[in-house]
Amino acid sequence: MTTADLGGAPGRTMPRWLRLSWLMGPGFVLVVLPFLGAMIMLAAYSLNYRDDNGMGLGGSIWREFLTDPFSWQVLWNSVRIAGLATIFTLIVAYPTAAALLKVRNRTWRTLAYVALFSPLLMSVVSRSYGWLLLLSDNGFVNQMFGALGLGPYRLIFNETGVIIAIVHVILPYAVLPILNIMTQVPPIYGEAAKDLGAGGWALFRRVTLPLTLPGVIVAAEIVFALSISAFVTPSLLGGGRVLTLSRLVYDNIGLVEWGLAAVQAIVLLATALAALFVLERMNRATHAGKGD
Amino acid sequence: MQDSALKLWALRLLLVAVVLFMMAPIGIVIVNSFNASAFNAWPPTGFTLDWYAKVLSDPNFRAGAVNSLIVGVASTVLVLLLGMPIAYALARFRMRGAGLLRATLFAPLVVPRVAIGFALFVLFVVVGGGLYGSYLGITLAHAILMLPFVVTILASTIGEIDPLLEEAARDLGATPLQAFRRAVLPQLGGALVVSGIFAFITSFDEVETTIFIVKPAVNTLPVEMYHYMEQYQDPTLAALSTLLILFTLLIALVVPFAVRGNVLLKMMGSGRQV
Repeated sequence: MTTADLGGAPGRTMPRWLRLSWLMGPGFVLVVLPFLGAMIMLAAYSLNYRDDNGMGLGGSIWREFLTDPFSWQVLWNSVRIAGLATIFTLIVAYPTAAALLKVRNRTWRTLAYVALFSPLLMSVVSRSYGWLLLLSDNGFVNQMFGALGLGPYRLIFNETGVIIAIVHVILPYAVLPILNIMTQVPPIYGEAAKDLGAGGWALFRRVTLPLTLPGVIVAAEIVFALSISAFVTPSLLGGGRVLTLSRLVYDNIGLVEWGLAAVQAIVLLATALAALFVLERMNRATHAGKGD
Repeated sequence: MQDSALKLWALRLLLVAVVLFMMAPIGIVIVNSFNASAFNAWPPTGFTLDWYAKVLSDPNFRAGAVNSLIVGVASTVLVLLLGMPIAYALARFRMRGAGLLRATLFAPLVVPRVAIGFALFVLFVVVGGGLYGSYLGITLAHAILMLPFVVTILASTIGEIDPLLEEAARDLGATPLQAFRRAVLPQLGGALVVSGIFAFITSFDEVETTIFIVKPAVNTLPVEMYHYMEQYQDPTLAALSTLLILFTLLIALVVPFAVRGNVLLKMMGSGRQV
């Protein structure tokens, strides 16, 4: 046996499970375990668990939440705002991605990328503040409208302002996956369709859109999940007048309604998961349709 | 493919409009930070640097900045130290139950941050141990949010490094740790810098989870800003935001020097708070 073998030997004889435990154990114990513990506490609190009364579990808070029309109103608010923000974002993101790919000049293209993606680095509180300035009653936007003889319009402390500001936050996340799939579609498909006589609109509807649809659905998954759980933007741009589930969770901590906050947090999570599930099913369907 | 001139110009016009839309809040914040009007009068009534003076002398913002720096550095170091071996295991070992491991590891990505924040709040209150409202608690919360991203970036990079290099090192007598340090780590530099910067910036901006677990004494800077903005909307916030934009730009400038391959795209493809 050489010294080289001796050097390598201890590692090789260390059982696999032990090596894996050394590698993954610390991270799982210190970070993943507290997360799971927190989720379990969340479920427990939604079922009446309290420090003082021990484990007298029950579903009364759930009943209270589910039978209160106010809960459904707020849930519908959250879904509507997130849904509208997602739709507007996709409508803008799709042609934006197409336009980005058409920019031939390197400098211009880099500048466009920087302008589109650098706002990701800006704090959401700062961005909300920026939108508050732009959209306020005599802010920049309303003064532009005024110059055209329009307005002023109420654009803050209502859903309009909230949706505009959310679109600003999520747009880059929608552009990326669409951009990604557009670069994967070989241009030869479009040329073939053109040779076969497809015009501009038919080309888009029958060839380009179906081929890029999976990227659009991935974009929708990301941006809907981000919008439904948004907290800072709807709170600050809504000025307390736009109620979303995430806002209620926060308010109920102040009101020491921890059980109710737990139920609302779980409903928020369930809604996000449900949307993800539906979109994932759509994604499968578009892939399956490719065989035709 | 030939496009009609009309379509080309329509797309260009749209791109310009989108770029203006994306830059608008940044532009107005920077301009407004020099606005002499306390009521954000537009157009600005005059030029002043008073708001910068006010921010820099505000004890709450100063304390918040210090807290954010401490938590940002601590959670970044923690998440890199714990994430790197996990990424290595995921990239190099085929294991039974890997699906379940991944699902648990990446679960925080699908849970709304507000829900994570509230869940951690009740956990900290029940467990005690000084987690609620302490550096330790906030650092842990940020590590929970960042671990999936860091593992994703690092695992995909490790997956691209030839395992033969490491095996060769082992055959030449290196211990597993030596082999990793000599044959893998040098090629991991770019990904470590990118995920580190990403983790730090995310921690430094985090509100939606953090707001549930801070006490007024240890408010982080963005939480302090959030509460300030709920009450006042004067240009103090504009000055502070402008300083923060400069600070993040400074950090982000390191990225282009460190990025290899499409790490940046992978990083941007991952979610952040709204």
